[in-house]
Amino acid sequence: MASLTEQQIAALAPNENALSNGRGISRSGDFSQLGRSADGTFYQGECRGSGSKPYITSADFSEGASPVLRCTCPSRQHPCKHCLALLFEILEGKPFAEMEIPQDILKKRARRGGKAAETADEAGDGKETKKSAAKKASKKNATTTAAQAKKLRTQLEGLEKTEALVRSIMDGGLGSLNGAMLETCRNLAKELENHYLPGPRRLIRRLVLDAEAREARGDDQANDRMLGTLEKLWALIRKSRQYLEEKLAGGVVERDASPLFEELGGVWKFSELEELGLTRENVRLVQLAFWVRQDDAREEFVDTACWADLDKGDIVMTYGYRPFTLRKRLKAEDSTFGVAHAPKIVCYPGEGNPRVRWESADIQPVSEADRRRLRELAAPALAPEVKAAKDLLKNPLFEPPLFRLLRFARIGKVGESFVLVDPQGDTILLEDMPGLEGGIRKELAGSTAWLPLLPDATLWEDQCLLGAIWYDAAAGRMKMQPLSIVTDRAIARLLY
Amino acid sequence: MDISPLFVLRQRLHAAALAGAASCPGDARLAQACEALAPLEAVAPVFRKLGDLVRTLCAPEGEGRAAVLLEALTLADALACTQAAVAVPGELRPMEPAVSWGGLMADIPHSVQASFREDMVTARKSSPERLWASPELRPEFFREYRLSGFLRKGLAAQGGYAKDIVEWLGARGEDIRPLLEDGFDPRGGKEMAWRVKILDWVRGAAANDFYCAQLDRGARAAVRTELIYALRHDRGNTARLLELCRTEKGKPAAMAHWVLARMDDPAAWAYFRALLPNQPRQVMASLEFACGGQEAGELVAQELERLLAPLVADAARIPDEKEVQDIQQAFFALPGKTGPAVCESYRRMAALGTSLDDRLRLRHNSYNWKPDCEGFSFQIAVALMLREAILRQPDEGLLALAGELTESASDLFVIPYLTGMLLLRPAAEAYEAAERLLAPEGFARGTLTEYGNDALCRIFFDVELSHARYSRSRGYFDQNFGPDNRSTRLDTYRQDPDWAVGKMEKRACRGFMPWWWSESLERRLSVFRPFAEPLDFRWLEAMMVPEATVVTCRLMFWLADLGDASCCARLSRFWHAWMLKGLDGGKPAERAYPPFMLPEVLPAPAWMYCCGWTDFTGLLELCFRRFGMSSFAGDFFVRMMGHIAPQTFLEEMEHCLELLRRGELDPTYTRKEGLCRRMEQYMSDVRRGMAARS
Repeated sequence: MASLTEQQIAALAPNENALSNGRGISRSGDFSQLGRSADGTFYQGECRGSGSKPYITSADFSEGASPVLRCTCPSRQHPCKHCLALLFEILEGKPFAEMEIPQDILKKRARRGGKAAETADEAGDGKETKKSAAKKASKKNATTTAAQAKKLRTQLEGLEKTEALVRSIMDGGLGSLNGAMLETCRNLAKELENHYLPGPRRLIRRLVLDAEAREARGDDQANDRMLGTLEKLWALIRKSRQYLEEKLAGGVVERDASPLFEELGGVWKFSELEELGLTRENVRLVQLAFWVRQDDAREEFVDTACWADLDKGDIVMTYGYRPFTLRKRLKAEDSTFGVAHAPKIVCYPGEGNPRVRWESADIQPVSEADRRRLRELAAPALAPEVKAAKDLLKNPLFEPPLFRLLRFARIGKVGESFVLVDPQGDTILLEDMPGLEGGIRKELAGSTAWLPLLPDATLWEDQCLLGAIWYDAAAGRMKMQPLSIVTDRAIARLLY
Repeated sequence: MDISPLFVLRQRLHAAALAGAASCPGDARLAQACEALAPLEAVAPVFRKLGDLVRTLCAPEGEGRAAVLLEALTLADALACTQAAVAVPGELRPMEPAVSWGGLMADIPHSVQASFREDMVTARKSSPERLWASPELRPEFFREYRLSGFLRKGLAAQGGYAKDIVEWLGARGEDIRPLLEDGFDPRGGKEMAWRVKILDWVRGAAANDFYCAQLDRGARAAVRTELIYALRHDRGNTARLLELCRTEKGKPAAMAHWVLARMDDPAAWAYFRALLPNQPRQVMASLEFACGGQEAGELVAQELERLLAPLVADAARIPDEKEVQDIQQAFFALPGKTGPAVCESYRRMAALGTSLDDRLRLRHNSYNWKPDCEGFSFQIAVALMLREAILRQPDEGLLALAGELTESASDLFVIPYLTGMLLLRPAAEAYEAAERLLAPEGFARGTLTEYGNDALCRIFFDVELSHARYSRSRGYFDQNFGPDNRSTRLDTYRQDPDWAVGKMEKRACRGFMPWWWSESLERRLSVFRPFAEPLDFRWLEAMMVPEATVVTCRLMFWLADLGDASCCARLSRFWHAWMLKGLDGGKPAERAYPPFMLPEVLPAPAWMYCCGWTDFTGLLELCFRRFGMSSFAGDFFVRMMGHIAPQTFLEEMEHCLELLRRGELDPTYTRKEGLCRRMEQYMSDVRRGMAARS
């Protein structure tokens, strides 16, 4: 019998509607003729639809945990709601009669087996094939083509325009960033699309949004944010110019592990990161926090998750970007309550908590051993983590915060503020970082306020905490937003 | 090392960024801050670098100041970051657990939680089923320690959503008390006001100390008003209420007076008596809904006497707007008052006959549905107000009065008299009185000619309410009254238990469900008044006349005992015949019925279905012929029949489609092919529904 969890089904669903509809179909009893092969690898059912004949829906588990789903319905969505409904039927343990696997399924299995053998052969040709492919790729990448050089020059032009804008803003002062100057910023932001400069474009949009907030709502924090954005933009312009000029001069446009690659319009493919050797294998990751950040400057929702690598011990991040315009069509990521076993993950270049990605992962429940392992991996003292955070946060190009898992002796209060005390007696203020969740409504955001509501008092003593370390410039102080508390028995999430 | 000069310089650089790089050369404070950096420059090269940048900025001549300013700002901010404080000074105290209701930690995914939180705090029009009945949101989620907090936040949300949360919270009973009392802020807004209402509902008098304590803590605005309202449970609050009446202003003051009137205390009546000459309208508003002893009645009677006397004395006098409003307010205070003084007041008003009809129009109830909000002529209003009074407090004295006035004053008082008979007398006696008073013209006698509607509607319901309420009367009852027949709605003035309501058979509405609205308090009162005995069937027999209107038929349905098979059979036969008459053999109707207006006969099959009737043969075709196949009426009928008699519907529909294809039925407003497809699709849906049910 195939073992399934609701989370696995949700992970397969293309969007929320399909999942909900699938659940509804299963509940309403629209399936009949449920059948299962003797070896439990193939499931089939007939589902009543809007047509006169029922749809034949099947799930083939012969390839492993991820089933091959098929349905005769005319929907272009894959998997369709009928397939998801069949999985719910399996999950709920409904009775399936024993049946023979249909011939067409057997043929398809055979065909897939043939293709897999071919791929294995290709891989099995071994290092030589890989080497020669890498060589070809390298040759291709190393060649300075006219088009690529032109692109670099276009980018440099865009950087010049951006620099000119920044200089004129600083000459006139932030106080004068309104009216015509603001319109100039908006126009440049649009123009930078043609200059392949998404990073500077995003920063200018952020500047514009803050300026508008200042005008519309009298937001007195807006000036500080705008200054921070300008510093970031200035640093990005300088570093990007240097980077691009070096490439142009050196005639080398191959991809390198520079964090500037994405800021300058690059999109990393999984295979490219593999080629650069930025991989980890047989990884076990436990998700400790998840939220969705509404990034108005990017015009995207960013599904953000913090994971702890049970082997390496660091905190890594996953990001899923969903443009506002495609909100209803793209499936959002969701919280994962389990250990993701991934045969291979790739890591994006950058400092702090690396962004990772994987193509497939199997989710298993978190065991007590896993939680004990997390506690072993947690940093034993606050001071080194804060120092590391300062070293990163002082760099204007670093996107705060820094996430760390660390041990604490207790959480208490000083005045009305929450404070964490590490085993060495060092303290840090616990407070929500503004903007961690982006443009979300204020009353919905934050996690610090949940601390006193935790139903178990032992959670405030001698545990581990995943926190986001950030710098409050106005207060001149380092702070931490608590995201979850890890104990031997549970992972108590404060955010989502 | 004292690094405060760094932060001062940083502040100056920020100010320079606001003003513009061009302003730096003349900025003395910036120059001063740079000089103060000297000790730090001597210690570390990085500070020297910062100092050099600032000196370049301040130099009278130079280019590229914008870039230099940015460099200086970046460096200053980076240095400030590295010097940021971490340790928290002060004595650490242990965490104090906050009160949370639920106490569960659950793995709830973001997709569910985020949606829940947003629903709680925004004014979304999402259907409540989305939240309360959502299968994704399991019951334990409402006890999850994070989400339970949002239940409170949802109280501040606008719109109907807050009401759903309120009723859900109230239904938790005493359990919810910690969640509501924890962190209560008497100076808070909407959320706090709702918390008080729910506590009032759940705990009543048991929380009297809480209400008093919060008032003493300086509660204000809506919260204060609710706390004062909650004092009504305990008569020991009279002295406090008297004090509040003297000191409060605005809505809290109005509420304090209103609650004081409920205390039925000699001190309270003395206060109102003293107040009456100067603030008569306020006193009358306070007496709305109150059912005190005779004192309340005397006050109202006295005030009405005073207000009507000038109009009675001078037949030509037209009351001005203020006088009309004063009289209206005194009128609204009448229900609930009994005693000789009030009865005498009714007699005097009844004796005036039609003499004030041209000069005074009054409402008998303060809801604003038309046409009643425009008021009735005085004579009619008095009769209707007596009916309201009997509904408010069924009283033998008022019943006797109504009977007396029926004989001596006007047959309009039949309405309150029969209302009282139904509530206070055996069923047979009530019917025989009706037969005597409404015969020989039958039950159509006593019609209020101003509106020309069924008199029965006036006996059982007001006319406009009848149109709106009959079809929903059962649902309305279930929605508004719990198993002990007490109002479950939080925005309704809750009755004391010894008031209303006996056991009620839900198979038939055997009582009245009046409600009143207090404009001054923005609150309503709902009660259920059961008939003394189940209705005598002769009422329904008398209504089964050929000229019965849809209003009467609907009333019959409302009054029918659905558990009585013979009653149901007789009614169904009557409705069937009535419907056939209305369909007039399929003769096309003279006018089209727009979507907001259904032909009268169309609801009948639903009533028949509820009464167990199964023979709907032939009605579909007749309806199509009369109203058109693709008309709104036709569409409505199709959907109703598909639901109540699917098998008959399928058979008849096949036949009708055949007639349509042969051209023997007119598609009316659309093309034949499209209509056929639509009907076939609907038939397919009906078949599927039947299969699912089987």
